[in-house]
Amino acid sequence: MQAVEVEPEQLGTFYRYSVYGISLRSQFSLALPAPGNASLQDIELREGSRALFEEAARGATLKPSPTAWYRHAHLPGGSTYLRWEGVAEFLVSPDGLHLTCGWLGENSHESFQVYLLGQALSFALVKSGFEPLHSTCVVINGSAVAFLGSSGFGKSSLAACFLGAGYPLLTDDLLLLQGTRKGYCGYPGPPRIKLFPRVARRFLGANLSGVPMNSGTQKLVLPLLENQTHRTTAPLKAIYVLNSPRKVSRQQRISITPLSPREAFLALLRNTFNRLLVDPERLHRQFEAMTRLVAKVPVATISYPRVLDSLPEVREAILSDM
Amino acid sequence: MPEKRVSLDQIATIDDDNVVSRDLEGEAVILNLKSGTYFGLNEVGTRIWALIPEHRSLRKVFEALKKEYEVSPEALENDLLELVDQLQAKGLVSLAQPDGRNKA
Repeated sequence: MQAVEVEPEQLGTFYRYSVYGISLRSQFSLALPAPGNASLQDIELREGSRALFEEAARGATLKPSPTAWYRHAHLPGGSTYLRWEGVAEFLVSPDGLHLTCGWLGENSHESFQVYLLGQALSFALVKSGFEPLHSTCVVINGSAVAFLGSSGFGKSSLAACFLGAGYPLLTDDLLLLQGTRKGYCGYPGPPRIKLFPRVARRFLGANLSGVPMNSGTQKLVLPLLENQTHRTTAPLKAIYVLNSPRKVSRQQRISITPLSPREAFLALLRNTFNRLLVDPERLHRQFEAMTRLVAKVPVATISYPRVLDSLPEVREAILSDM
Repeated sequence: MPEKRVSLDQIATIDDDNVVSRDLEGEAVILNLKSGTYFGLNEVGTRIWALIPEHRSLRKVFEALKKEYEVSPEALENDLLELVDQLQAKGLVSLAQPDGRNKA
């Protein structure tokens, strides 16, 4: 696995990792690379006891997330409690710099990392001032190309098709962008992709080494090889917003339609990674960030039939469009 | 016919503390920070949105629009007042009489 720094401390051992440009100081061993010289932010991950979470969430009313996959509560003082039943629970500090984690079931460590490094970390990122997008991103000739869409729209499947053709993955599911003098750059996410077995076999080969995301799905968490991932930042060249699979028939042709800045702005808002932190300060920051982004990066919708064998044609359409 | 809630005699003010907006190539996007609701305006609506803080008086906004758009004054007034009525209903602008009395 990757080499990481280990710093023994009175309270336990901490590992250091890098993901999304963030330096993580973690009590858990994670499948992530070591940090580089610079990071956008330092976030600490600690293990919490069941008693700690019970005390923190005492009296709080847990509300389901928009997708109902987890429940959450905003606690007095500004912390946020998150709970995936039978999987894990998390406590995010008000400033987003500390994330306390706990296991709730027998799910795999890989499964735990999916929820930790996705939704849970997104709360920490937003609280500490970032605006992650719900996006899977590949790198084409050194430039990042982002696919946006709700869960189930096929972002990862489309990315897998690119992977199968030799284009590396920048990130799956969560994309962190930062402005540069010339535009924006995307930061690498965890070196893994989440795919259903059929899609993984079709584009990544028959030798799968993934584990199920949780006990309720066949979707696999698949570690990627070094040559399958892009481990540094990449300048963002384009954003493609995937149309809903329900709005496309199997016979429909592939179409790419550029969006006006206003349409693009609304599309980015719909595809924010975190929709539960809606205080005015966050909304204002998000508004400014998304209006700046659409002014500099082209955004288009892409509509295509969700037929596995058609994905190579979709890939070629995107490559031609670029 | 129901009485119009908005008239050209009124003064319109955008609540800068709770409303943010950007002009994206001629189309405005607006966020009401209090309600967390987003709005979009087409080109004409965006022009009206820009003229409101510049003139505040709806009559002056109307006069400015008359110079810019070749439509009948009646249609222009109707479109302007209808939009301002919607903006007020969404909490994006507040209306007052010239003497400072707020519109109920």
